[in-house]
Amino acid sequence: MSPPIELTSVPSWAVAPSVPPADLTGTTFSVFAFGDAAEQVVDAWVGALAPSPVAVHHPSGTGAADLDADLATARVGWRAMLVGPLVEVLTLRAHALAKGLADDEIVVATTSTSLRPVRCVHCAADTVTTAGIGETTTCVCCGLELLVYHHVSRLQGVFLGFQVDAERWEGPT
Amino acid sequence: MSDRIRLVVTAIDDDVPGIRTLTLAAADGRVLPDFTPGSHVVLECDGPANAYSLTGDGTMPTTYSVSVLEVPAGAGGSRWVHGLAVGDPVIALPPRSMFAPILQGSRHVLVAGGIGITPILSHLRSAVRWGREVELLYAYRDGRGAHLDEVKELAGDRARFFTDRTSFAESLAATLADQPIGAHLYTCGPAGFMDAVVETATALGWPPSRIHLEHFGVEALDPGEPFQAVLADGRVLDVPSGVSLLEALEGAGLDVPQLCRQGVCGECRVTVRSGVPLHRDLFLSAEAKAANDSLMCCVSRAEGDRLEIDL
Repeated sequence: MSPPIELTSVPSWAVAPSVPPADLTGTTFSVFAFGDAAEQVVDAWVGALAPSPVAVHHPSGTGAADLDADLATARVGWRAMLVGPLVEVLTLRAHALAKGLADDEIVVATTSTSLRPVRCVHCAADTVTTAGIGETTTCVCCGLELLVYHHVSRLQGVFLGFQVDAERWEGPT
Repeated sequence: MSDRIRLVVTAIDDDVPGIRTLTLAAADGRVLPDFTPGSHVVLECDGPANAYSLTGDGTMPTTYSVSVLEVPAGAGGSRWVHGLAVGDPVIALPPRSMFAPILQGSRHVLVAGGIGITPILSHLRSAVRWGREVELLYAYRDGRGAHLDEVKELAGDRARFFTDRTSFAESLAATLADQPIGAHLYTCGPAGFMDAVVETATALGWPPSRIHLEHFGVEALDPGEPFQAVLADGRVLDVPSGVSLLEALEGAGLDVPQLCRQGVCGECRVTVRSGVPLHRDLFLSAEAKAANDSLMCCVSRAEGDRLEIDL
């Protein structure tokens, strides 16, 4: 049983697709967009922020290199706005936080939350799964059956997964 | 309640008109508790206790130093400090921090107004000692600038000094418009001064998480509307205009923990069972205020005519 999601480390946008408005409190902006479904959001954000210039990136990889390039010259007032499927935005948000960006400098929109990344605490591999919070999935690496726990690591950008029946002793009796 | 520290006044500096710098050492000569830069101590004055920022860097201190602006019309704390002599005993509570430097910050912009230089000087000393990148803007009234020589010696050309509002406002805006993304802003000064700094920063896109304030003074609050406080045992207390909830509770014989009696220290927090508080303190965060489930009873009152509290 999971507690109410707002009492956990799982952001609401990681549970259901969610598109917040553009952050009008910033002065300069970069948008990192993943996938076709993000284009509608990009257009809405760019329109809302006009006439402020917005750098729009469509990263082919994780977007970390694009973010680092913008970050190198960014001044306080800059906002990073991420939009795309959950796995991509969680990964790039983790990178942005690790680089010292604050939560109130990052806007995250999800176009899809059907796939989530789960880190196996036993072998440290990540499994991308359709299993929801409180359900189980098989670790792609060690094969253990993992419970998808109601915790998202901010700096790892993954859900926590651990062996669902770890407390059951199955050794020699 | 924390253990009190017995101090004794070892030096007094009255060089700047209206500002007294006290050096305090432990009465038994021991090293004093370390503190985080930007901390304050609560001194037990005659009347309500008062909080004063420590100006040292906080590492292995053998003395605590505070600088106090005399406020003739204040509650009496500053007048008491200005009446002390070398050798007088002073009782303090251990240092407390509500204005710590963000150590991950790539750069630290310090902005002081008047006697607000005191916690900022502590930040500056620490930044210089540990090699953090720092710059300081210090606005003060001509002839009333405390710690000017120390600031100049510590910061060199990283400090800029202002005695007129226009050049300060221009330099502040130019400075805040061009800071690397990891920078943090720290400001202390009169409420109107800090409001202006926050307004400038916000207009330039600074997010709240990069702006840090130390409130040292409380503007005079209006006497407020009368209301009734309902206690856990069902008693109903009248809180007339001009009387604080804390005073009403004390009048009813309740022993409420309290220190500063001006909405700063956080001691007198009371749980609210029903009714909406009118928050007037500087202690609770915006979230805590919005939750409306507690209030600082020394300054805060009721939005309506009744407040049910858990006491």
